[in-house]
Amino acid sequence: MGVYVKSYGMTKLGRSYNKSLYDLVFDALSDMEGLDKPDMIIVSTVFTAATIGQLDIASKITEIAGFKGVPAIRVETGETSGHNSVLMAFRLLAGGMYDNILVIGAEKMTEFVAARMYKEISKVFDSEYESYMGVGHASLHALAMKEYMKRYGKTHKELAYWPALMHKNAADNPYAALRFPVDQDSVVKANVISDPITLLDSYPLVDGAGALLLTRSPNSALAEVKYAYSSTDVKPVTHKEDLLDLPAARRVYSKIKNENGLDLSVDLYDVTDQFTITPYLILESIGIAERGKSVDMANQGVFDRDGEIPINVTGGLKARGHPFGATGVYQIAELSGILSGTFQIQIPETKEAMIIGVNGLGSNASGILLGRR
Amino acid sequence: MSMEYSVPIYWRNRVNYYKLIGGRCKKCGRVFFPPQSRCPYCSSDNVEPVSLPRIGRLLSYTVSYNPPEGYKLQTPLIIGLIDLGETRIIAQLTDVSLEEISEGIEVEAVVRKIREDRTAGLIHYGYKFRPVISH
Ligand SMILES: [Zn+2]
Repeated sequence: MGVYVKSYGMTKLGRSYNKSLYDLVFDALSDMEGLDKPDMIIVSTVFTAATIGQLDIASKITEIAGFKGVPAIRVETGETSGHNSVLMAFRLLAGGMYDNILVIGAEKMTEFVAARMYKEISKVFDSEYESYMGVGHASLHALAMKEYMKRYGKTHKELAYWPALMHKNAADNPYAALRFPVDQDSVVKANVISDPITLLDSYPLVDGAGALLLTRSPNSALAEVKYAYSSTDVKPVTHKEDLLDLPAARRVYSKIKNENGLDLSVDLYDVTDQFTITPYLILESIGIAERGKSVDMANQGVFDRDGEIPINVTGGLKARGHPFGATGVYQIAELSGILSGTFQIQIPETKEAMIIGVNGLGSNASGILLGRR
Repeated sequence: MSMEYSVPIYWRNRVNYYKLIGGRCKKCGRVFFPPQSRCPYCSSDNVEPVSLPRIGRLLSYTVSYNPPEGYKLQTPLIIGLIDLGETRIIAQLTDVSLEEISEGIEVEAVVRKIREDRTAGLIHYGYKFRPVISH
């Protein structure tokens, strides 16, 4: 018995001052086709306890969804929350526990000033020794980016191929937050957040909700969830053996590859790229690129939409937006839409797509393999 | 308004913060920071506290112009990655201007105010590093 994506719904990412988190969830569910009462609801959200002050938010969202009475839980694993929510749903469905599970990812990141959100976000790292000391999300990635540039002799402008490509890819994604073009020079010259990371090396703070109906029935499904796996690693960044290595991501990728045949021919990838440095670290850690070579590959166009290994064809976290708890749900929804030819962006001949999500500098990693139904 | 940081958490961690206490694994011998009851490398629970050297070398740093809330008065924040010999630590740099700072300089640990909790009237202290003043 397989597990399938039956339907998806999303809201356009951005600032939604006049809509609540619950309004966004309502809109995302209204965007879905063929949504019947599920056996269970899994809610993925990271910041709602802090941003809207609600606990047991899964029950409130279930009421808004119109499925009062259905069992509902919340999953939180930082930036991999959405991926791990789908992984949990996949396991429950594959094990025959349920027939239909609705996964809802939702985040409201513009309810407070940015600095307040940066403080909340810094807690995806070690809270007592990193965020307590004022060390933020961007600063830890900045240290990794500096180390990468030094170790492999790469320039900021070379690395900036990635954000420029993401803005280009987001241009025709109707759900994306940043649909304007940027070039590599403007990325380098933008305002510095934590050097060398500039505003254009970083993801935007957005509001959004996305939903996926996962089912055991292949009838009229959009895509198959072929496999899902996740892994963890040390929390404090100073416990890492190498700042640039993400062992949890490597374990996820190897496991998915081994379980699905060594000749796994993935046509599309979608990886965490909240900062310019992150996708390079992921690609080199999982082995798609050799150490120090992914930046050259990017600049040669290998990861472009029409390149050899297209990655983040809908704009990535960088330009689509990164609504933390909802991010994995957006990635999986968009790729399911591409596999079934129902998404606004078409990549012909796509048979398999893999999503690799990473929290921070690798404390949690989660991967989902999708295939054509 | 509630307090931003728990007083008991701060109280329990203060010795680690002030005296720079890390962990040493008695099984594999490795030293790590922050300290915890299990070795991050071999997962042994046979670990002991160890005082880390207070002088190290600045491996790398980043200047943060948009730090998390609560650090505005200290902006720009300089965050350093420091080599303490057997382990590394990530901490704020202090008593230094952007012109004076460079990779490779010797830095020493000092106790400094990290943040103020105005609603609770508390001042939280912790470690920061400053350049070693040569005579
Ligand atoms: Zn050990």
